[in-house]
Amino acid sequence: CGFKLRGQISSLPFETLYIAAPPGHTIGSDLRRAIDATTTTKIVDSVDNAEAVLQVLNANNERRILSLSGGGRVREFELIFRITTRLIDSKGNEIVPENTITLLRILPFLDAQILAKEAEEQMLYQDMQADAVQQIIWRLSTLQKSRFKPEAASIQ
Amino acid sequence: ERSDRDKPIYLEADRATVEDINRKDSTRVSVFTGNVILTQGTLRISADKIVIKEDINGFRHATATGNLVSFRQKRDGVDEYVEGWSKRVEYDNKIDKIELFKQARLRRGEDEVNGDYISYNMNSEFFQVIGSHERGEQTDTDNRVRIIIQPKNKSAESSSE
Amino acid sequence: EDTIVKPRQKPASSATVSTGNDTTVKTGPDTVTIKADRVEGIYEQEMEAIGNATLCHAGMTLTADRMKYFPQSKDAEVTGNLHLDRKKDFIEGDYLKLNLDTQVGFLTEPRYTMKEGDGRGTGERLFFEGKNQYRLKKGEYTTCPVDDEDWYIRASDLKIDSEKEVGVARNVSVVFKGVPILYTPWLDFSYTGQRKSGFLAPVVGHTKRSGADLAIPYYINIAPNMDATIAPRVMSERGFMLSNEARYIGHGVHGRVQADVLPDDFDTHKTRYGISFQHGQYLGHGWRGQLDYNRVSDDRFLRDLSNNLSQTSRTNLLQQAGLFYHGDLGLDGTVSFSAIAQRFQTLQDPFLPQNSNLLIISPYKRLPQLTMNAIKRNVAGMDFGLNATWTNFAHSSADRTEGRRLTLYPTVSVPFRNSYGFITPKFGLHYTQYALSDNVGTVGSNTDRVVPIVSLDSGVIFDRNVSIGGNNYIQTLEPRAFYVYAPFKDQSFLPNFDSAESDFSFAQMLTENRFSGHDRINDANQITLALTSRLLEPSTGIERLRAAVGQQFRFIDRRVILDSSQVTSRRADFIAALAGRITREISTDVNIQLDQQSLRTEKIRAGISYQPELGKVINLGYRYTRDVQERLDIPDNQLNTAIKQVDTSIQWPFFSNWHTVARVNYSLRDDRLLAGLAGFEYISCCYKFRVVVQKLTTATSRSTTAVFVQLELNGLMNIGSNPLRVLEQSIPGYASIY
Repeated sequence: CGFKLRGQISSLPFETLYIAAPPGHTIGSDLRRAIDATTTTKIVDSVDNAEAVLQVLNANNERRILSLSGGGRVREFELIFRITTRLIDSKGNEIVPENTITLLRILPFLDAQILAKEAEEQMLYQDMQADAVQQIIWRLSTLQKSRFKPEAASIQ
Repeated sequence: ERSDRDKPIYLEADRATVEDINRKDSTRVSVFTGNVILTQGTLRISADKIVIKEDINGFRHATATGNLVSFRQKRDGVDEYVEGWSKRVEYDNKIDKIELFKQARLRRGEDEVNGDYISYNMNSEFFQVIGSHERGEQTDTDNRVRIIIQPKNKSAESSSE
Repeated sequence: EDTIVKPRQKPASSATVSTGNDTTVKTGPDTVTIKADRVEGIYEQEMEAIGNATLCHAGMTLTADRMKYFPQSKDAEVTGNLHLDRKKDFIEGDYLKLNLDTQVGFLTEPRYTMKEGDGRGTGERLFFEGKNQYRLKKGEYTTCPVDDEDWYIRASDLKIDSEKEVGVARNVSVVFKGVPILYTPWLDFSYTGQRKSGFLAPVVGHTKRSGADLAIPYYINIAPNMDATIAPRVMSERGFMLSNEARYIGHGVHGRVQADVLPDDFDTHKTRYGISFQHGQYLGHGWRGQLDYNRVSDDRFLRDLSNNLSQTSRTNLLQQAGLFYHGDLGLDGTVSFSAIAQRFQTLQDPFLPQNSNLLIISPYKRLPQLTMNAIKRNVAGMDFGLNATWTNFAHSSADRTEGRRLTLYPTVSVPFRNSYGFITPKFGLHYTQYALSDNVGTVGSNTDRVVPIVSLDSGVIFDRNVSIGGNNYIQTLEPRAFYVYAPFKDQSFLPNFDSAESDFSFAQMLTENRFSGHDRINDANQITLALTSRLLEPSTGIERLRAAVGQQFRFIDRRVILDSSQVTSRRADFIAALAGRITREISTDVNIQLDQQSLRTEKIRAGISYQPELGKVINLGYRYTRDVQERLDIPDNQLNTAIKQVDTSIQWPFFSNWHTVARVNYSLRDDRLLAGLAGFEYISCCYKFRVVVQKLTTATSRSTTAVFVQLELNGLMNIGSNPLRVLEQSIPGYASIY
């Protein structure tokens, strides 16, 4: 039926990448770990020897009431994870303009289990974050190498 | 300056033709052409051609033409000059009035007046400027009068004449 | 005197006489330039320009038929269809007397238009009171286009500062379609929407619980990064209340304080208050501080005094202070640390009989809880992880066991990864130690538990190019297998501080423990097979549609269970989901969970929305969760998670500028409307008129109806309560049209 092995190791059009993520947020290290593990690109820790810079402009979790019980209590929350990223090359001109990925999950809720639901909520947020990281990598892998060829040459 | 009127008039020119007093209406006409310069006290007019009409009791009327006749006079009691340029200048000594016709421009210190016709009375300092539009003249540039008044810094304001 | 003629010896040098064509005259900002058909006057005393006259000075251009200018005093008198064109505005009138220096003077019969925003108006007399300061007597102001004046404000005195772009009006009446609808002795506004202190639109309403309700909020723009809103509120059934909100934001700091006080409630004759304080601060080097403290005076405070769903539905008010750290651990590692002190104020349902056994169980207090989560990768090809927590659990009621709990969960995994797939075996040892306040079964107050957990995760990705409906996509196929083994350990005697069974979902089924929290580690011998297929746009890699199916095969009967109050879903083990955009305008989100043996559906979440363009959206939703406990006899058993609801919402324009908005969230199980909303918006060129009615269920057989009537005069202000936030929350995809 035409399926071929895509392979886990996708190739990104740049050899080195710097990730600029808000400090104290786990998104930066998740991105670093995923790109390290599933692509040939090496993560560098300073902007100047990076061919490209992935800027995480913001990544935040939101919660919205989805369903109520007969007594007006919350039975389900809708968890929303939004992440906005932008890719620029080493000279700062924009390769991929600002784009936002929004993901949703449903958290059933019972007031009596508020502590447990807090842990489940964190698990769902982490799952969305991993999902978003995967989508970001897929979007980066579709960029043409040509965007980076000229600069790349000058870097070496 | 007001005292200019009592001063003698000097005239320099490449060529000059002076007529005798004409008995009938007791006037004399003299014509000066070529780099003509008329000076009377602080008043000074230079033009290509100046025609002067005099009557028995003294000098009355001068008409200067040229490619931008220029005129210059010091103001009373102020170390400041009034300068003017135009295609034709009429100067009447008796009423001390000067009229500039066509591409007329008058400058005092930093202020400036442009128009098609400017008349300026040296004693009363009354002036009148008319644009070519009103006089039916057709000129290519903005045919209205333009007056530029620079800000006077209060300290140097001279007492009014 | 005689004329002396001297023949010239040499030609006159023309250098001494300027030919006058050097026309460059420097014109500075304060230079006055006058143009006209004719100008006459006494030099430096008075000039009169007649006929098509213009005067330019300091960025201002004045044109009129006739004007007088006095250079000494720099006064100007101008008459005859006068136009004054300036940086920020454009004014016409009949007769103007103005001093160019001091910008003081007056203009009769003024007609003015602001260049920024479309504010314009007329008046009897306009006073210039200095640079950018005006005062309009008996003036009118509107932002409507010239030919159709839907509204204007008329004020006996309207003072405008065009630098700060703000205005203050006295004895103002707002006339809408010729009918004066509002009179206020004093009104100040910013006509370019800047933040400015001043009265916001009054909020008018009527509810059964508090009767007629009027609030007049006053907004204080304290500083660019700080503002506050003080809202005195009068209710016929409850009396006077003051609600205040303050917000601040700084470099790495943000916070919000909300304090409401009702000194004497007519109904309960007690003082009632509500406090909510949130503060977040980035402390540098990866450290972050956070405070979230909420407290109300009595259980019914929120339900009686708020129309906001997110407040009326709250049962546990969080009171927490926390310190968080996240940073690198060497090259390939990260470490996170958190310390929180947390407790809740639990609000009982005010309308249930006090003695009923349905009192809400208030959660344990965690005073404090320390957690540490470290990951170290690529150590000789292995990834190491450690998750540790230490918590001191306390509880207000005496009959609940309290105690301290330490958990340590070290793990090691060996990720085998090659070009097309991955296999990751993982081994973890979950150690828990309890130090409890009283004996637990036979074990005494100190006990511990060790559970080894083994898992094997593997997956591979295939893709192919495919063309559907004319456009081509990359379709991926991602099979995945996840095996977990954990031996049974009897935990029935252990207390349960923070564990419950998580809802079965794609995320949960690929984790090792079906219980959240640390008090229960499930015995497991199961394999989860999942298959995900995505449609990606080839040029951008954006995921358009995702379909996924998953099944969990349990090889043992699971013996670690929780009592029914801690279980939200029964035995679902099959899940299927479809999410994304089917066509450019239709997107869907469907999720079904089944119990594979009995083929009973445990949970259905189905939603479809049609959004052809901005401002047009229809959402249809159905949500079903099968009842977990059989105790259907209790009407609103707060432990019961059964749901059977329909949730539809719509925003649709009709005629030229009418929009209708509606939402119905109807519970088929309780046969009542849980949340309903209906309204319309009329959007004209210079104003918007909204009427929205909202009905919310606030407690068993209690609901509150709120009516929002809002008239938004573009560029001036909005009158009436603002339903915008409610609309955005109730109707996904709602767009407020400009």
